[in-house]
Amino acid sequence: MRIYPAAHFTMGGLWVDYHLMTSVRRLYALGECNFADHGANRLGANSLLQACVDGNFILPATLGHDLADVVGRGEPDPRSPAFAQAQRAVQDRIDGLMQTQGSTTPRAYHRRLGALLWDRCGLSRSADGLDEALAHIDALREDFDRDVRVVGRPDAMNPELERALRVRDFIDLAALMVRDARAREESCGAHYRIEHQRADGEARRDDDRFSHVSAWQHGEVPTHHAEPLSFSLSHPRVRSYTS
Amino acid sequence: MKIHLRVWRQAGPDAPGDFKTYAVDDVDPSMSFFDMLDHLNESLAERNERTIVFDHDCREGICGQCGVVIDGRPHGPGRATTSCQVHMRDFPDGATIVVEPWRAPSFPIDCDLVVDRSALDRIIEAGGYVSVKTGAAPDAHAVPVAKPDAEAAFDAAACIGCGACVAVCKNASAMLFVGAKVTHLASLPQGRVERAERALGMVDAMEAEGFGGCSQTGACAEVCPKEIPLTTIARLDYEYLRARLLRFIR
Repeated sequence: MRIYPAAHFTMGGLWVDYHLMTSVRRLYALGECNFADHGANRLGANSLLQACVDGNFILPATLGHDLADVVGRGEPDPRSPAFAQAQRAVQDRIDGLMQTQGSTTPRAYHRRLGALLWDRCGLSRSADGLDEALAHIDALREDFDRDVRVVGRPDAMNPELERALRVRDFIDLAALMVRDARAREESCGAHYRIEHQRADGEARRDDDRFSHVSAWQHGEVPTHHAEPLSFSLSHPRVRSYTS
Repeated sequence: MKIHLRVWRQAGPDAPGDFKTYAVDDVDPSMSFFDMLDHLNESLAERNERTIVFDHDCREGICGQCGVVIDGRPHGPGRATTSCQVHMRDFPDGATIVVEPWRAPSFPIDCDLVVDRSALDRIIEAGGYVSVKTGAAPDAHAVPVAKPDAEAAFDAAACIGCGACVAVCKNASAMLFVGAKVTHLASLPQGRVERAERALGMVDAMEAEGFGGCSQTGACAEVCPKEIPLTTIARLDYEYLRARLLRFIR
């Protein structure tokens, strides 16, 4: 069997509390869309782990807890200002994409973004490479907003529009991943910074400064929050494939 | 490779549909069938033409989202494979390939190759579930299940709900789908509580959705990407009859 590493997981997701509720009240993130379980590296075929754990052990408690609070309160009103505002925001985004009428397809941007991340935020990363990547991503975002082409209609089933919306989100997510990788001055799990390695090439962690989970609050410039990791039963050690 | 595609194009549920032929150049034999469609779509987008809409998600044969009829056979030429697992190396250079959506009265066409399979969801709502208490999850070994029962349930649970069984059936019957769901849950202790209601409810829902009956041709099991056996239909008949008898006795 030929084995080749591939990027297929973001190694992070939405911040959640122990009920798997996000920072938005009553919005839950279950499964791998949250940040919780995998640690610094999520190996292949582990996807079921979080689906099973969250679904089997946490969801039954979360669901009852949530329903107890809202049963009998009636349905949310779709004419509420919050709903209208959200709908308008989505409609504006769609209108903007349809009106751009540029020359480059969403898939072409997706490829460029993928290559950029693979080269500079892939198996190994460096401070210089990540700085370059952030600049390139900013340029790609500007290019996308100016020159994307979405064929088809906005009021019918349109996978090109769907892809354009997603790829535009991927660009912002990519910037966040690069920013996070740049801030973490250590090598840990899937995050291998070439500046931080031992003489034999193994990853060198810095538990004094980075034994935490980073949560980035959405904003023009994301705000960093650190949630410390505490280990009571098993303790982090140096990875070794020889002993 | 060069491929000629005859694809069903239909702009929306109420729009007229027709076959349109496309010549696809630079097809690599290692491409999957959907890679090839992506490749064609990219060139359509570059020419400012509407791209071909098709359902897909995991592209590794496990999610049940995809499904097109390729040269008259749901999911194409392979055995036990979904449409996303078809590769261009399966076709000769210069081949003309006909691609259609699932054809069944209960699966209205949404757009091009995409059909609305929510009828299957409504059948599930009519009984394809088990009731559980909320609160802490029970220990994994709290409910013993005999090995043969677990195996039978698991084999039936392999159904991904793609709808190929309906698409290939001359009666557009959903019996294999319903049979798989009923067999899966009736084989397990957790599914016993609603056992009779499930069989009656799902069969009623299936008929209400306009799916046909079974003539035992076995075409469904032949094209099923998960090789759900025809015996699940026998099990469905048994469960249905049992439920009717129980209702009669009571």
